[in-house]
Amino acid sequence: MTCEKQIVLHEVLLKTIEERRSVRRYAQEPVSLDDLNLLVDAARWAPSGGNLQPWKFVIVTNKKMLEAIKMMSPGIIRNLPPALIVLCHDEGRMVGGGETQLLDMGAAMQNILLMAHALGLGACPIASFDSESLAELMDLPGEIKPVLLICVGKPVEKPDPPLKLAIEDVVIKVFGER
Amino acid sequence: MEEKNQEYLFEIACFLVYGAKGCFREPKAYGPLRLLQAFSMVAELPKHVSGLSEDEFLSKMKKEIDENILREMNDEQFEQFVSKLSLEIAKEIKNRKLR
Repeated sequence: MTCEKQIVLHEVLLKTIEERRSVRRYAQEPVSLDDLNLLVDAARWAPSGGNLQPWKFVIVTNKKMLEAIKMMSPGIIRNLPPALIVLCHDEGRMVGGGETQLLDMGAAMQNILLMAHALGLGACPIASFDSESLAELMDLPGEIKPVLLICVGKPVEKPDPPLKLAIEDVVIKVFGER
Repeated sequence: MEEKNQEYLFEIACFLVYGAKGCFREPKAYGPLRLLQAFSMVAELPKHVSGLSEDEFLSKMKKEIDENILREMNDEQFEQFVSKLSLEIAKEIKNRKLR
């Protein structure tokens, strides 16, 4: 990659990261399956320990299913989203306790959120839902555990940037050159 | 319409149970948050139940809750917000019961 291309890439990436927001209000127009597949495509490129890729995804656009999911998800506070991606931990791909695999899931989630923003979609991760009940609702196999819902839709709001700690507040030590 | 209303009642009931379950593992402030969400759902009941008419005060409170519930607030600010709501209710109780 040329130096010039590298600069453009990092600028675009940083802009995407900085401008992404948790969007909770969506237009009632549908999200295409192509776009939802692109989000999952981005997620599956996330890094994972030992490349175990401990994730599975469920894409939901069916209104009845969305309504049923909302009933067991106090975290979906605004109106029904037009689409949802359920990020699941595939415990069949678990090694040891699997705790670190939740970090892998977080990386997959971030890829989805960034890709959604890049596609002009709004998205919001929701952790307040009942995983056990959701697995029952969707007839998921026993080793597949829902860990996160990601609401997706065309945004009708642009939330203000949240306050972020400054770099000097979060980097607590630098061990540089001697 | 009847079926929709029945569904709304069921929706509230589900919300209460899942809200309760979440309270065991979620941050402390989520308890009051869920109760305010429940308030918002209850305030909408007149839209769904015949014989109940819209309560202007409750609708105003609902609007205030819905607009602020996701605003960035720390626990202290959130508690102040809930206190402000309860004072507004106190005034309304006084107005309805003692005047």
